[in-house]
Amino acid sequence: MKQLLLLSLLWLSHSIGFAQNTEADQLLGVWEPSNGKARVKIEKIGEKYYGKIVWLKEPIDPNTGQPKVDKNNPDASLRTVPLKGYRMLKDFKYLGSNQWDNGTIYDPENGSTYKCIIKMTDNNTLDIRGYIGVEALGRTDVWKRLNLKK
Amino acid sequence: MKYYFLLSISFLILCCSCGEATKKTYRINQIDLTVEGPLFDGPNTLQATHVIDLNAIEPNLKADQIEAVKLIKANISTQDSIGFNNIRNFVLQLTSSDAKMEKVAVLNPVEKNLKEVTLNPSAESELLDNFQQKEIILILDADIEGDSENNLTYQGNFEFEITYKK
Repeated sequence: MKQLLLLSLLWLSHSIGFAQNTEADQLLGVWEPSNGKARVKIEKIGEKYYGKIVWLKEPIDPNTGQPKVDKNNPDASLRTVPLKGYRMLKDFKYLGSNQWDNGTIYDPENGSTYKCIIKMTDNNTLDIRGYIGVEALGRTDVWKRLNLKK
Repeated sequence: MKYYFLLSISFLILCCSCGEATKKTYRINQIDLTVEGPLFDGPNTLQATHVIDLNAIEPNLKADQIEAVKLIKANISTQDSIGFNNIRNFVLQLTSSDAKMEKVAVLNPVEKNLKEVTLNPSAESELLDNFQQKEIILILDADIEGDSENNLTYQGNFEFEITYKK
């Protein structure tokens, strides 16, 4: 009887852990911000989530004729980093209730990094809120999943 | 009398808190950075995990004695006969379970006909938080020309300047 109880408890804790991981991994995939200028692939490295630019509507810089680079980075030594492949979402952890927090979002158009919280409003929609200081003082952008899930 | 006593105590506290700052180099040699195929045209992520050995810097050194960490050298090499001819650029990042990911070096473009390259380290990246964890994850984004079915492995040699208090 004791053994059975122990086994059940083990199974239950394993199932809860698995469910939590599956829920957290819903974020994985390719997403498009509302301006349609880029597509961002969200991946998992260790236990955290990262989003890198995998597609740009205008990949070539009209001034140089070369692929766009991170020319607005405040660290001048990193201004040759290509925008294609750039990790603009970094270090997100799953909080539960379809929210990922503790991360940052980088805006290559002005070289600024903001604190960020991600909320999944349905399987194919993310509210990406970037802010400075407190969450109330921020801006939300709606991202759509590229390959829609049913 | 009370004044002198307080002055002596303050001086003592000041002396104790001002340990001598020492700089040493910490090396990670010939670590394999790998990614499983198939690989697609564009940036692909090679990874390696390294357990930090503080004793290699100074016997009995504790993580909280470290004051600053900078990447000073990053070399990537390959045994592959084509060298890096199919690579457009490299970007190196570091992360760990409880520290933020930091972009630490870049090489764009990668020259042809080379089997070893040196990345340009960031002047501003600070890796103290990463070195206060037990292990770090090295992440090398390699921008590959064309698709490939194979796995990819490169070797990395890295040097960090560690500033710590004795």
